[in-house]
Amino acid sequence: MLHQEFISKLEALLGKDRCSFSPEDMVAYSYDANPEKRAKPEGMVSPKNTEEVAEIMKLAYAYDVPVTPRGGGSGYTGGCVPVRGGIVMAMDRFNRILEIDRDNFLVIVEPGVVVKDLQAEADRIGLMYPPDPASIAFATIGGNIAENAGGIRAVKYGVTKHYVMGLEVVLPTGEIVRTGSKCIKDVAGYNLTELFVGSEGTLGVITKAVVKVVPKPEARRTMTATFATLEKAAEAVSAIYATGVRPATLEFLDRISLEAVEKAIAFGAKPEEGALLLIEVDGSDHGLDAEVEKIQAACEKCGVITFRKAQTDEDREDLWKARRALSFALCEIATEWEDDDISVPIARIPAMIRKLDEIAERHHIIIANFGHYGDGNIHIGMTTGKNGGPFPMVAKQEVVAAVVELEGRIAAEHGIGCVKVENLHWNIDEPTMNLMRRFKTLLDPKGLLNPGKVMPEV
Amino acid sequence: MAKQTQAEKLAALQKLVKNETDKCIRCGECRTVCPVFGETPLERYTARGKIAIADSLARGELEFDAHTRELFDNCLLCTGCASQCSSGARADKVVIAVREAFADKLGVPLVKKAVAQALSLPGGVLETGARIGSAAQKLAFKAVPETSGLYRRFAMPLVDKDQYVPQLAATPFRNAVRFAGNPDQPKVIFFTGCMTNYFMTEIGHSLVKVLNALGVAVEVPPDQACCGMPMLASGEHEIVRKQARRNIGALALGGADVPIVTACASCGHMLKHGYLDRFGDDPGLAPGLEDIAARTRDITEFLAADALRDRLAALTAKAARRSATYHDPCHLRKAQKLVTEPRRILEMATGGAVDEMRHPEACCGLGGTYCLANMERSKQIQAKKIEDAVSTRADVVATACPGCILQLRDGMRRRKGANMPVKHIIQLLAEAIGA
Ligand SMILES: Cc1cc2nc3c(=O)[nH]c(=O)nc-3n(C[C@H](O)[C@H](O)[C@H](O)COP(=O)(O)OP(=O)(O)OC[C@H]3O[C@@H](n4cnc5c(N)ncnc54)[C@H](O)[C@@H]3O)c2cc1C
Ligand code: SF4
Ligand code: SF4
Repeated sequence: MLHQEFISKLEALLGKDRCSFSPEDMVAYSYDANPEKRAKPEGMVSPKNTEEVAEIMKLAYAYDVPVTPRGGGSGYTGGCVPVRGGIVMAMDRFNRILEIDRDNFLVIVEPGVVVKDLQAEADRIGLMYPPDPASIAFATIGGNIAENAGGIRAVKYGVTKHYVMGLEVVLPTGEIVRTGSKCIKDVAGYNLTELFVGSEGTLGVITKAVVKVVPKPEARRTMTATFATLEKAAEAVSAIYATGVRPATLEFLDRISLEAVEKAIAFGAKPEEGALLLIEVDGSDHGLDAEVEKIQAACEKCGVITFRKAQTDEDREDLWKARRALSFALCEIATEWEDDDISVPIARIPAMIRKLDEIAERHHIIIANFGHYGDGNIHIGMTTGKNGGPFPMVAKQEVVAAVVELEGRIAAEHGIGCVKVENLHWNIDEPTMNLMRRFKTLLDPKGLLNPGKVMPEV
Repeated sequence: MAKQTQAEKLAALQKLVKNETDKCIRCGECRTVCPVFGETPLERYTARGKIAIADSLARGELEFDAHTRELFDNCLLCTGCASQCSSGARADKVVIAVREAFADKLGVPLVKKAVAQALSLPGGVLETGARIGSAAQKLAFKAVPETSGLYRRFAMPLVDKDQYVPQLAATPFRNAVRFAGNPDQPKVIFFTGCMTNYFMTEIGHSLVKVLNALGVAVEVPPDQACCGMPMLASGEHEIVRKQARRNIGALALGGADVPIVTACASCGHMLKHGYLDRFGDDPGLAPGLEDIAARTRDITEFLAADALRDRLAALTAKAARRSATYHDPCHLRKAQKLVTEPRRILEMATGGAVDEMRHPEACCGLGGTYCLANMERSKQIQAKKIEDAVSTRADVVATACPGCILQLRDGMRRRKGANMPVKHIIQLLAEAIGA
């Protein structure tokens, strides 16, 4: 129960229309895109500037109230779900793009800005903000930074952390700190920026960010290539890399995903096709045709079955159709899926898929794999099928073990949140875990900022 | 259908809400398209929030009280969320169902009730009208039957003095035109909608003129009733059921293959989807409603069909060039997915490319009766739209829904220095074709 005094002070600070304690609002801030984790907060605040965030944190510290920051609420791992109650801090009102500095290739942005809006602003003046998770149209830049979100261009452009140059952060205890700068080369002090990138709202509340943008590539080309097996596709990927061409996007669908999509939208897959690569290159227009030729030659050397090239934007949409239809198509196989998001060093993707096939066979389940081949990120969907029995949870643990054996990571781009906390030790050894705990305790001695996330409690 | 008991009503609500809840993956995509959330960024106003809260309501975990009613009243039923949702969740259906539940339990919302009372008093409209300005005074509202949704659009005692109120037509359109054109030619049935029938009759006359010029006859069934959208929006579904039944009868005229055309985006949405969404499970109505849905075309959709388009191009070849910007009615773009058709027709009417405004798809803020119950937020949404339109400096704002026309004209009155004319595409087309 929130202290009445705490409530009155919040109301005095924010006014009655920017905080709420009503039962229906508690329902509205109880979820994110994770299908299972839900928990109602006891209050909601909607600050609009850094000072208010700092005041709220001080009040929370004075009254021992947990605070959970929330962006777009599109997270997959329950990051913004207030599992220990307390208040949710909705960052929606931090929705301004403060400055676009074309000469220095920088944008200064508030965390509640939707990523697509940032991309659109950059695009208008011939620039590009490269990180592009599939959720760009609704996830916020603050949520992307807090999750260190990836996307389909990560192969060439990297992930969110590669674009964050500086941050303004309110610490759990209410101090306002500034990390990084506008400079590309900057070794003044420790690199605190990266401490907060990917911290999932557990170390501080991000209130402003300086992000890097790049000149917009003049053109792009899209291709798809199908192979009999994923091993063959893997050979092709190595052959592509050997040509020196660096695709911006390199996505894959395995046999089950491919079959599901074919069943759903009949885009023309042949029965002998067991893997599909979706490849995109970007850069200056005149150089791209040569790159496409090299990629095609590499694929042909490795037994490509069908190679398609997009000439127009419409063709491009056509090629993307299979990838985009996937989630919908998988729902046709089964409505209940256990999802995972893992990564392995890229050359080990075929080995990982083999292990996943073994797990599927052992437990009589269906496993569909797809994702970002080029950066080693596999999205795994596991199910017992439409009329199958309960899911064998041990299979999930076996996936984790396989990931670790191949020196992969149990979380690639969707974070740990509150759903993978118990598995973190598979990747992080005890001394390292202790160091992380010490950071957390140093910044948040009472453990009030987004409790129950990332770090297992001792 | 026999009258439902309260328990049956609750069960029906639970079923409908569960259906949409199961579809919603809570991704949050709908946040960015919701005009209400755009003004007040609180999760309860998003489609996702409304679905989750409705789910709690239906399970009995929340009370049907003034608080919850406020958030369900705060929806323009623009269908923006539904058209954006990759999972096909329909928050608009949920909102209508919850409003019905409220209406059943607590009566129609207060504002709307006040309107109804004021109208039922002898001379009530005229008396209250006298206090709010001359435009309203002229309204002989009595000519409009009580079954028209217009009562919900013009809540006389509540609108402010700046409100744009259109002039009531001396002769309602349906009294003036029953059949126009050559009986030997192919024909269409014209579903006029109330705004065109009582106020903006020029839209109807333009439609007749254009279609006749193309060699298409127009029949106007005299018995057609208000489509019922405003009543559906305020949870008064039993009235809508009656209107649906009456329209099935009225529109049966002329046989199965005769297209029904409308020049009102909301009427079109209602005929194509609204009735079926609500009464699709009523075996007495479903076949008739399906038939109506299959035959209904928005006038821009009808004209953009290949056969007519070329003829229309020939007719408008000599049209004077003028610059026009275009506002997408939500119920045309989002609900009926008509995006290129109205633009193509507009381009023929004005002899040049559409001068696109910044957010042509943004809602105008009318939302049926939304503008009355939530005046302030409605005006904020309206003001943004007007700014976008004015910045184009086009000669005219075109759109394809009388409701939007009303709201845009009202917005032009309220913004200093703005006096762009607002017209229906079909009017511009009639002007382009000439006498
Ligand atoms: C359909 C769909 C597709 C997706 N595709 C991708 C993808 O391709 N790649 C990818 O990486 N992810 C993807 N995601 C996951 C999700 O969109 C990302 O994790 C995103 O970064 C979450 O952003 P958000 O604004 O919704 O944050 P939320 O979900 O609200 O919060 C996420 C975390 O960030 C914290 N947080 C939010 N704002 C702040 C702040 N200002 N300061 C401190 N902490 C904060 C929260 O406490 C929480 O821990 C997808 C999700 C969906 C639903
Ligand atoms: S209603 Fe649709 S768009 Fe909105 S959260 Fe649910 S699934 Fe996503
Ligand atoms: S119908 Fe329109 S106003 Fe209502 S929730 Fe959906 S987007 Fe918002």
